[in-house]
Parts: sequence; C-alpha cells; structure tokens
Amino acid sequence: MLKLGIAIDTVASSRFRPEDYVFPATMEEAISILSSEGEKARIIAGGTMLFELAERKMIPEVKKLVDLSRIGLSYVASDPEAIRIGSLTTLSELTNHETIGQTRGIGALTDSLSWIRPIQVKNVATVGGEICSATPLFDLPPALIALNAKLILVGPNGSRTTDLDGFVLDYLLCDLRQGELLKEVVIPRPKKGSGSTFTKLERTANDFALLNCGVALELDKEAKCRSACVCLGGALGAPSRLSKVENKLVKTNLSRQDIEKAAEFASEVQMSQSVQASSAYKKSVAKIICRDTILSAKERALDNN
Amino acid sequence: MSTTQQQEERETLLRHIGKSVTRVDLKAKMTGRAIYGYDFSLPHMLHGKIKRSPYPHARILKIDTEAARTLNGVRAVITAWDVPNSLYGVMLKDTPMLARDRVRYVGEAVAAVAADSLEIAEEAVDLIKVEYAPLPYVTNVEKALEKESVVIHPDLPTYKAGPPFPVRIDPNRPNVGNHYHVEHGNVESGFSEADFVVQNRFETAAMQHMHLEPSCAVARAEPDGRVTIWSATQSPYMIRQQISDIFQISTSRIRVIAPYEGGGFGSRLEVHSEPVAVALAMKSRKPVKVALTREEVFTSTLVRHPFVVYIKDGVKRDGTIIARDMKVILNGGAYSGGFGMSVCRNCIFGAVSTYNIANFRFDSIRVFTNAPPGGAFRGYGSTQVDWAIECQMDCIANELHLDKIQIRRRNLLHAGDRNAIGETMKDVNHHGVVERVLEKLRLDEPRQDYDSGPWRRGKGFALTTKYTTAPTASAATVRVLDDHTVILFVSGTEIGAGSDTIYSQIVAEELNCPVESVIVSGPDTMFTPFDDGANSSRRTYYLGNACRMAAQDARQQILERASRALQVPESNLMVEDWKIVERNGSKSIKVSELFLKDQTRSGAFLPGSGDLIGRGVWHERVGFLDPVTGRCTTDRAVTYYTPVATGVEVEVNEETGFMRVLNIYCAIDVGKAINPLSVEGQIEGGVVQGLGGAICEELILQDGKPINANLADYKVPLSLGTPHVQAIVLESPEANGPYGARGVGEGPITGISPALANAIVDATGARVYDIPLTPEKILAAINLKAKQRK
Repeated sequence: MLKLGIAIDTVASSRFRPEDYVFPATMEEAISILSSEGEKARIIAGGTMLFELAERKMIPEVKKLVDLSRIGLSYVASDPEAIRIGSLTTLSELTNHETIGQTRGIGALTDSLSWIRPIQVKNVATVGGEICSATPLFDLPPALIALNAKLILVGPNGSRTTDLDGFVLDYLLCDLRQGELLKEVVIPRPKKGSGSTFTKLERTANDFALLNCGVALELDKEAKCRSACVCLGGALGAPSRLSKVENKLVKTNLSRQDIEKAAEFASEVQMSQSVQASSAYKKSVAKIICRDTILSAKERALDNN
Repeated sequence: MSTTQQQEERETLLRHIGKSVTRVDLKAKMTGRAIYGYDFSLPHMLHGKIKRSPYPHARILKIDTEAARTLNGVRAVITAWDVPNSLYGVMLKDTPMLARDRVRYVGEAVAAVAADSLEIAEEAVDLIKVEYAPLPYVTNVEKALEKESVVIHPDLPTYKAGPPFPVRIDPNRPNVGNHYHVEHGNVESGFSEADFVVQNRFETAAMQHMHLEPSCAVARAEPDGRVTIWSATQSPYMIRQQISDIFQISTSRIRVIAPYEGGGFGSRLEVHSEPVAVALAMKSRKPVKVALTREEVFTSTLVRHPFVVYIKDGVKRDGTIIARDMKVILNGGAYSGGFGMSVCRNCIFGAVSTYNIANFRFDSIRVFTNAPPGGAFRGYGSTQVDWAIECQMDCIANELHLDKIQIRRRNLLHAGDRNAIGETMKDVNHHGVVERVLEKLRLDEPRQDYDSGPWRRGKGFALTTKYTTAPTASAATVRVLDDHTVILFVSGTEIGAGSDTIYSQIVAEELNCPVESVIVSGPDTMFTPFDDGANSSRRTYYLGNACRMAAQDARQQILERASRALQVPESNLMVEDWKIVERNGSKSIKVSELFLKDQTRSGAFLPGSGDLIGRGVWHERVGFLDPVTGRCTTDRAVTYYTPVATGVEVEVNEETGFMRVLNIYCAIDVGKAINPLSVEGQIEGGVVQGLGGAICEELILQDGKPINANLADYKVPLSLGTPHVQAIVLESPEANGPYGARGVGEGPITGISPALANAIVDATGARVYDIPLTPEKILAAINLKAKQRK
C-alpha cells in the first residue's frame, strides 16, 4: 500500500499541469461534467491535497479541475435534529461558526479543528476535501465518524445518504461513484449525557497524524456507558472503528480500569509502517492514545449530564 | 584608572559598535522587494532542467536525446559528451558535471535541457531515455568499509587531490577516500592506568541544510568567451574557481555576481546548478536559469555527513580521563561533496578543544557509498563529534556516580596547555559559559517532577567548542564619494546572518558617520575583492577586520587632504559626520569640499587620485595539520576557539516516548557583540537548526532511494513547536578581533543534541545513542531500561 513519502518518483521532472479549470454554475452542471469526464475530471476544493497527490503521481492523471465554489455549498445550518455542514465550507469557517462553538457534545469536532494547525491550510481546506480525498492521516474524519456523521451525496441518479463510517474504503479511495459529489455532512445532535474528544500524536507542531483518535460516549443516568464510538485514524488506509474496544466499554462504569482494559484492544489492530514510525511502535502507542481519548470523553460526558 | 573603567570608557566612545542597529537589508526584505538568486531573471532567458538518475548505482548504457532535441521550444540538450571530460571538486577532483558511464546515487545529474519555458524543459527531460544496467550498491557506511564491498570509485587512485588532502589508497578498504589520524601520548599505557573503561558507539543521521531558497544559477556566455553567473552562493570566488577548473577558462574571464541568498548553511559553498547552467548557456548562446526544486535540493545537493563514532575512555576513579580512543566513520556518499575531505579532517578540532586528555588517539575515515554526497554543514563535523563526546561525558559521570559538571571541569583544557594536536591553547572561556548556563539550569535545585502520570522531567547539559578555520583571507575596499556616501566593496554574500549590517556598522564607526551613509555593494568578482566566503563563523572576524582597515585607510586619506587644505596638522583634526574639524579650533571643511567638480557638474574627482579609495585585508597564517602525523606544524591550527554551553529542560512521556522541550539555554562567548540583536538571532537560529537534527530531521534512504525528499515527510521544527531559546552572550575580547569580536554562526548548533539526550537520561534513565531522538527510539530505550531493571 502507498504511504505519504513512499513511491514518489523523485527523479520525474514534470509537474502537475491540468489543461482545464471550470466553474460549474449549478450542481446539475457539476454532476454532468463529472459524469461525462470520468477520472479525467476531478473536483478541486481547497487544493491543499490534490496538488500534492498529483505531483507525486499518486492519483490517475487529471485533465480538468472542477471548482464547486460557485454552487452554494459553503454553509453551516442547524435544526433540532442535526448540524448540517456544506461540503465546500472551509475549516476556518467551520472553526469560527457560532453553532459549532455552542453545540454540546461535539468536542471531538472542535478538538480536531484545533489540531489542524496551519491557518493558511484551514483558510482553504474544506470539509468535503478532508473526507473525499480519503487521506488516512487527516484529522476531521475520525472525529466525525465518532460523532456518527452522515453524508448526503448527489449524482446523476439523484441523492443518497450514507454513513461516513465505511465511506472511506482505503488509502485514497472512497465510495464516491462516477458523477457523484458530496453535498453535505450531517452531524446528529448529541444526546444529553454524551461527550466526545479527539486527540492526535504528531511529530512536529504542524504535522499529519502519526495516529489520531476520535471518541464519543453516551452515559445513562447511572453514568454507565450506554453507547461508545471509538475511531482510530492513521493505522491503515482508512480511519476505522474499533468495535472490540467499543463493546468492552458499553455497560461498564467507565472506571479507569475498564477503560484501560478496553483500550488494550486498540493495539490488536493491524498497522502499516510509515516514514515516521514502524508498525510495532504505532501498535504500542495506539492503546495509549485510545485510553487517553476515552478518559477525556468520559469527563466531558459527565459534565453534560 | 582600573581596566574595567578603561574598558567602559572605551565602550562609551563607540558610536555604532555594540548597538542593535536596524538591519540595512530590513526594508528590502520586509517589503518582499529584495532580489534573491531564485528571483533573478534576464531578458530572453531560457530555463534549464536536469535529468537525474533513478538508480543508486548503475552503468549508463545509452542516452537517447532525440525526442527531447526535436521538441518545439527546446534550445539545447547536453549529456556528458557535450561538456569537458573533466572531474571537479574543491579538495578531490572526483565529481563529473554530468555522469558519463556510471551513476553513483539517486538524483545524480545525467543530462540537461534548456528550453523557452520551464514547462517545455520539464517535458523534454522526461523525453530523454536513458538505458541503465543496475549495479549492486551500498549505502551502509560500515558495509562500504569492508574489503569485499561494492567499489564506488574504481578510478580513485587516479583522481587528483588538493595538497592538504592526499588520498591514501588502502587496498583493504577500497571505498575510503580520506583518512586522518593523530596520536598523542601513549593510549595503551593510558588505558592500563585507568580504573574504569567506558566505551560506546554513537550515530548521527543524514540531515539536509534546508536553506529556504533552493539552489539556483543564471549563466550567460558572453560573445567574447567570458562567462557571467548570477548565483546566490556563500562563496563567489569558490564558484569562480570551480567553473574555471571545469571549463578551463581563466578566472578573470568568469564573473560571479551574488544576489541576496536565502540561507546556505554550508551547502552553497559548493557549486550545485552553476556548471550545468554555464554549459547550457554556452550551447544555446542564450542566458539560462537552472533553479532546483525542493526535491532536487534534498536528493541532489549535499547532506550533513552521517557519522558513526566509536569512543573508548580510560577513566581514573576521581573522574580524570587518562586515555581516549576515538574512531570516526563518515558516510561520504557518492562524491567528495566539495568540502567533504576537510570535514573528515576538521572534525578533529571538536575533539581536542574542550578537554585535556593525556593519551589520545583519533582516526577519522571518510567512506564513499551510494548515498547523497556529504558536504560542509554548519558545525563542520564538530557537531557530530560533540554529539558523541558530550553524551560520553554524561555516561562516564553516571557510571562513576560523579557530578556531571565536575567531571567536565576536572578535565578541561586551560590556557597554556598543549592539546592533542600540538596547539598551545589560548584562554577559552569555558568556565564562563558553564557558569552562565548553570545559573539558568539550576541543577542544584530539587527535581520538580509530576506526582503521577507518564510525564517525567529532566535536565541536560553539554559543553562544546567551535573553531574558526585558518588560513583564510578577506579583503575590503571602500570608495568615499563627494555626496558623503561610502560604498563598501566586499565579496561577502548577505546570506541572512546580518553581515551587511555588521560591515556597515564597522565602516560607519571608523569614519564616524551615520550607518545610513554606507552602501554595501554585494559580491561581484569583477569589482569586489577576494573573500574566502561565508563559512566557519569567520566573516565578522575576517571581513570585519578588513572593513575596519579599509575604513581607517580612507579616514587617513581624508585627514591628509584636509590637513593640507586647512593648514592644520593631522593630529589636530578629527572627522565627524563628513566634516573635518580642528580640535580646539575653529577651522573645518566638509569632505565634499575636498573634491573638485567637473565643469558640467556631472561629477567630482580628487586631484592626484581621482577616487578616494581605502583598502583593507585580513589574513592569518597558522600551521597546518601534517597529513602524516596529524599534528599541527606550529602551535596554532585555527584562528580561534569559541566556547559554547547548552542547557535544556525537557519532559518525556514514558508511555509514548514523546518529548517536550521546555527551555533551551545557550551561552556563547562571542568576544564582542557588534550587533547584539543579530547575535541573539544567530544563537536562536543555530539552536533551532540543531534542535531539528536532534529530534526530527533525517533524510531516509530505502533501497538506496530517498523516500522523504519533501517537506511533508522530512520533519523540521516549526515556530509553533519551538521552545523558548534563551541566548546568553558573553564578551571576553578576542585579541585580534574587530573590537574584540569572534564569530557566532556555528557554535550554537554544536551542543543541543547531546544536551537533549542527556536530559532524556536524567528524566527516564534511558539513553538513545543515535540522532534524531524520535519518540520511537526514546520509547525503545525506556522499554530496554525497564527490562534491565527487572
């Protein structure tokens, strides 16, 4: 499997130079372009990852870039059920939106936004790009998966809703069908008694994750764990939920011992080697980051009771 | 009057020296209008691009350039067969401009193209088809040292070498390009007197210079056969010499002009894209720019030599080191890297300038491998040797249960001592820098650790010494103009260190005029006098002295002319803000009035000399290290030694191996801080670059190929994660330095790695023996320690 930093042709000289750049005026027009051009056309959102991947020749050759910035997909809306985020919303817009700051229980999201450091990147990188570029080292997906986010996708055959969990299939590969684009991310409003946290291990203060982890817990009235969602990123090609860890947490009192026992299973997950660390090292610290994230989510859940 | 009072009085008389004068290049750089080498362009300029080897070691069977040559917009395509069949290199002539029959590392230049646009050049380079027959390769330095190893340079015995660096061909070690050896006292008998023997093996990784501006050159072949090169180089005269060697053109017919340089750190003392730019310009008869990408800077310029250091010490019960045996192996990569040979030799200075060890042996060997070439890097070998020695000092202290500072003090060299290479030590203020760091580090205070949780606190210390090389020379010329401006002609490139400001302060000081009166020319070998270059922390000292002498020469001429004009003896005159005034008198004359105006008023001249030119040159003759004995032929081998003490406070997570660096204190005795703010900047910059090498920077090879040759995967410290660096400046004057100044550029990088490793030991008991100190290595060391405790 490819990793960032491996399989780069360091001696190729030609750079990424797409032939065309278009601004569809409507969603229909965008879908029609994407449907007819296939892999030769690619959506450009913030462009922070696309150029990197194209220069490294890690994606099929792109001839046409499709810019969705003129079809009104940049928004944050909220209703009693959910928070709805347009896919072209930049990370800065999301960070600064009052709904995001005021909603209880979505700490994992605000954490992950604060872990993405370079303001220059946040000003252009989008929520949709974080998801659809299917890069295993990104910080938003594990947080959103922990929060049980849904995706609204539109394509030539109309629109469909799917869970974010399972949408990213593998390294640089997601379940986006021909002609389809991501319209909206829907985060169900967390129930009372729930809390969530996201944490990250990184080598420098401005880095892709070595491993990252999003956790959301819901407590019942006795402060027992009703449900748990634990998502680990950076292990393999896609962020994945750790069902063994989750199952071990449910119905416990979430004592430190309960959490430590459950988190042990995080180190059973298969891990890939990267430029920055061996798989053995990633395994040995997975349980630590998992444990610490669960502990913090529990504290937040208790505060939200 | 006491000496302190005298000194204070002298200092109050200084107008610009010792003041944090605003940088003279500030406006140009802050507004983005400064022209760096990478910005430079000429009308009708072509863009060059280099075809590079994808193999670490291969024979070239065939190069097909047909498709590239016929591509529309391509103006020249060159291979080794189109350029002089000569090898170049500052100290060993082993490097081809373009590989002829064999490539020796991934990224080596094989062919090049000049085209109307960069896009066409890139396309053309991809159209060049090279057939290779891959050969076995070796990148591990200790494997390359074996007799049976793959041989990188079968023709090594025929290569020409510079006189100070003879190649010693060793039939048992065919990849050894240079071997420096010195022995002092009797090491064997020293060990027999020892109560303890402590031995360790330390390693460092390949680090890249990471100058912000990638290497770049624009070349123009003039119609009369001369060549002009615009290159933001650390050493314009070095570039001129290299181009002269390669193309067999007399040096006077080569003109090197250096715009502002976006950092160099040693790499840009050497030619990178200049020869190819010249060859393409000659072939296409148009100016050609060859600007490397960041990826090419990683793969195809230079790295800091990875070292393996074996160190064995015989120690008396009281902590006296009675014998030390060091074996240092440098991974030289595929070529000599310009200054690689002298890094191999000069790393000795780091090993003999801090401690006085009666019986001492040192062998350093530079080995060719199929890795990117190692070259000069801020610290110049001292950093890697200091990494081993300063870890070793703590290892000894721990093993003997002695105080870490005491053991260092006990073994210090003192003024008048003979060091291991035969130099008589001058007073190097080691005690002063130690004291000042300890005041901050407070090793006597009880440990402040967390009651629970995985984080442990620790403090670490290192004492190092950086030399400034000799013999070198710097010259300066000043031209005083009738509008009360002085142009300073120097070949010292402003590489970001603030040198143009230092020179301006010195010239303004001597002419007693505002700093704003001084214009620094920027290097142009057609007009600016010789300078050895921005290396070895030498320019404040060498060029500073030259500027001072040039300005004094001009002042003397002004006084002589004013004396005749005013009929007042010179001794009764003083210069102030371009006016020559009589002491205790009323006569005065402006400098402009010494000049005669032309009838058209288009200019002015001085009767007798035309221009008012002041000249200065500073050079120091010292002994050299005899290639056979390794010992200095006189009692001095370097210009001076600068002492550095580094203290750090860290927190280490015992579960993950992650480290937080809380504080860094770095004390250095600079003799005199001519511009204190610039000195602080140099200290902070050096420490942070050292921090990068200590904790994260490493160019990783996999299957002989760099796999993180980009800034996403090659980690450098970023401002957000950089701890507070407290710069501590000491000023005990250097006898011959301008106003007592020494250099500051390199010292701060030398101590940070061992200080951090020692702090990790202090926090966790676990030692890591190779940099960078990654969380993975730290955790492995912690786990190993836990196992040993059981």
